[in-house]
Amino acid sequence: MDSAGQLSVLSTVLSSLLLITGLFFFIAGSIGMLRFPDSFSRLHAVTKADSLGLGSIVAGLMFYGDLWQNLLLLLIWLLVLASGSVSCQLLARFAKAQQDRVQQDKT
Amino acid sequence: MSLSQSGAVVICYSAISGIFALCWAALTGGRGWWFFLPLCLLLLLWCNLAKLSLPPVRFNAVPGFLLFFSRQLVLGAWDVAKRALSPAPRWAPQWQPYSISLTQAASQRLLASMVSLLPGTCAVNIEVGQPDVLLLHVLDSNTDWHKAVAALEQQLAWLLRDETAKGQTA
Repeated sequence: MDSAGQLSVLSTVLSSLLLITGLFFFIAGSIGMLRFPDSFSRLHAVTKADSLGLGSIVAGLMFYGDLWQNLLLLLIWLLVLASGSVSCQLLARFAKAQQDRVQQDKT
Repeated sequence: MSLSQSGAVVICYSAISGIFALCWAALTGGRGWWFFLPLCLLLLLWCNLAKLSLPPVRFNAVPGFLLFFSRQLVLGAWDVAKRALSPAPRWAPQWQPYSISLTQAASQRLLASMVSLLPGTCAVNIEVGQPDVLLLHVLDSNTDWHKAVAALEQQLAWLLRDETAKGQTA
């Protein structure tokens, strides 16, 4: 950033590319949510694509913030990454238990 | 408890408090520290009662692990994006068991959580047995998912001090 608080052309291009990449992964994850055949497969789309999508958006936004704001953004991404992977596992476990119960009731 | 053990405990709880403080700063934008302090003390008490602590790590293995994990994160997202956007369905979901060679319960849970960010795999449950088995949901059973999970497990074995990497002695 220069003295007037404006981003250089290179920083603007890099930031825009990262934001567009993040948007691409969010859109791909959302399409995966709609297209994938079962709830377990949909979890793949949400956890993987959205984690990287948010990472790219955070990296793109870091061009605009100061050190403290960037540290907080990075922490938010790490928290989302951790909570995403743990909640994916918990949701999958719950869905599998439900599925097994339904199958047991049928037999 | 010897002096060195007490020192290790103090360092461990200081590190945990630091992590809590960073999480609080990230979630609240650095506000409400007067509320955080008693909450932090309660959380530390809970960690002490539940015998929770940070796993000891080999610091020289950290850069390699971060590089490996970042690469897998990008590959995983790219893989799922490609499948989601391809005109023809490119998935063949299946349940697959994976025999875990990590011995500690905490390491196994870490593996189960991280597997969900790897290309094409999602952990569901750890079934205790001989050996312990990780039940995985695989997005495409035709891919070499086993190799990727084994590579992550190997990286974790290198990273965590309580584990012994394959081909090494304790």
